[in-house]
Parts: sequence; C-alpha cells; structure tokens
Amino acid sequence: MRSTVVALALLIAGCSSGSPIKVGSAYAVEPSGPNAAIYLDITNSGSSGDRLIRVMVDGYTTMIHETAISADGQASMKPVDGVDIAANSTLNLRPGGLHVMIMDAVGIVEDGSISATFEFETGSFTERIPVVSLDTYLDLLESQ
Amino acid sequence: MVLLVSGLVAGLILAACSTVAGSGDIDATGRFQGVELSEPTPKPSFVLTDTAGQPYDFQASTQGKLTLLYFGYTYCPDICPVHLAQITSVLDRNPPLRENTEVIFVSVDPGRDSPEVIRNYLDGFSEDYIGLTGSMDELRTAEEALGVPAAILGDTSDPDYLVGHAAQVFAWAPDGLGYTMYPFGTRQSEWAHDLEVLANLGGER
Ligand SMILES: [Cu+2]
Repeated sequence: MRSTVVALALLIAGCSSGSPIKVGSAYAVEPSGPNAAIYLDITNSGSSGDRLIRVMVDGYTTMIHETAISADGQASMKPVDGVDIAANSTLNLRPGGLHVMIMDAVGIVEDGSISATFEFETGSFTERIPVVSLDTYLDLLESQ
Repeated sequence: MVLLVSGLVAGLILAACSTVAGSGDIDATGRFQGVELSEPTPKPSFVLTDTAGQPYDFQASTQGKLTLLYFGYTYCPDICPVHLAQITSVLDRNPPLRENTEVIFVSVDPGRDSPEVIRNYLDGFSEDYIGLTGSMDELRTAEEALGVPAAILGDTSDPDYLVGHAAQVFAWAPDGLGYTMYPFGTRQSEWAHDLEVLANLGGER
C-alpha cells in the first residue's frame, strides 16, 4: 500500500514543464547516517545535449557523486562537476552509480518531501520529491 | 538406491528453492545465489574494538553463528545502508534465523565514526548488530585477514572527505567456513535464500 502511494508521487514528480528535460522517479532516501542520497532519472527528449550542473535542496549542502566499484571490489564515491545528458537519452542516477548527496541531512525524514531545484545548462526548475523509508527504497530497488 | 538418493537430493533442492519468490536466476547446480568462493574459507582471526570500547575477538566471539561482516562508514549514504537494510529485512522476518546470526559492521573511518556514532547508526537497523573499529593499523590487519584492499581515506582536512572501502559483504556459516560473498547489487531474494542455506551448514562446534 505504501509502495503504491510512493509510486503515485513519483509519477506526479515526473510531469514538469514544457522543457525537453524531464526529471522522473526522483526520491530521497531517509538517511541512516549523517548524509542522504537522492536518486532520479533524467530524460532529454530534445535534439541537443544538456548538462545537469547541480541539484539544490534548501538549507542543505549537496554534491553530485559518482560511486564506482573497482575490479578488486573497492567502492568509492567521488564528486563530479556535472553530468552530461545526450540528446534523446535518459540518464539514471541509481544506487552504486550517480547520486545527489545531501550532506548533514538532519530533518530529512521518511514519508516527508523536500523541494529540490535541478539546475541544467539550459535552465532550472524546482520540484517536490518524496523522502522514502529504507523499506520502500528496498522495494524500489527490487523492482528495478 | 541411486534413484532413491537422487530423488532425495532433488527433493532437498526443491525444498531449498521453495522459499524464494520471484527470483529469476536460480542456478540449478549451485546451493547459493551469492558469489561462490572457489573453496570454503576458514573464518579469519583479528581483534578490533566494539561500540562499548571493549576488544572484540572476531573469530572467538562469532563461533557457531552465521556471521556477516561488512566494511563501511556511516557517512556513506549510497551502498552501505542498502546491504544493512536488506540483511535486516530478511532477519526481521525470520526470528529463529536472526537469533543465530551475528551482523558485524566495521567502520573504516575511525576519524569520524566514534564508537558512539557507530552505535547510533547501527541502532537504526538493530541494537543487536555489532559495530567495530580500530586504529588504521588494526583495520589494515583485519582487511588483510579478509583479503580486501585497504580502505582509502580522502583528504581528511575536508570535513566531508570520502572513503573508498570494500563493497562486498562476507559471510561464514555456523560451521566457521565462508562459502560465498555478496557484492553490491545482491537482491533481497538472494539474501533470503542464502542466509537460510548458510544457517543450516553445521552447528555448534
Ligand atoms: Cu555520496
């Protein structure tokens, strides 16, 4: 039941302006430690490439991070300056890959929502995205 | 007789798989869904410090239990919580399994992860989970014992420095042997399957 509600919220978040850039399935996960992560899909239906420069959440410091797992099993995150989204493509920010990290995410709690501003080279827009519990997050991972 | 035995084996395999719902990639020849080690590997020995500040002898303290161990740090929001949340979800649904399982989180970031910080983090999953850390040298000894590369700390003068660490969960059955490991990306259904299989490999010794 809870998953259904979240899925609905995720769908609604996907409908934004008339720009060729759409953010879909965006959600933050309630933090287990000091920091939280946001995952999302970005679709560029335009005929030219764009670039996600940053994602801002009011009152918090954020960074775009890329997690990589090396051949010997070492996982590491590194900050990235921005993420290119080619024309007519979708970029998935998913666990174990790209994410937006919210530093010191005190106050970001499950079943709430946050306002996130997505800044692209061609413009920016703000959307409310849900904060999901770890359990819901696991359900989302299983369904991917 | 041969027929009878193979029938029995088939029955056991069926019984083992019947608890798995919706997992599409069951390897019919293997017992496990995690990554199988080339040979069963004895549990290593090392001593670190627990969240009460006491020395924790890994091998002695986990004897006879299904043991899961993961290196991470509490600042990591991406991979670390997924492993712990998946394991917790499986154990929460199976009290007898939980009873005989020791879940151990080793923080490789002692500069920020004090025993209190680790305790607080783990309590979000379970108060029964064991949190360990140590000096960089002690951690290196544990990493070497497990055959993983040493954690790499970023520039620690930046309060938000990042840490590279082993991404997989190690597991040992109650018989003290490791048969499998679990890289990031392991599915919940695979955990549910393997923890049950591992728990039944050997009892108290
Ligand atoms: Cu990160």
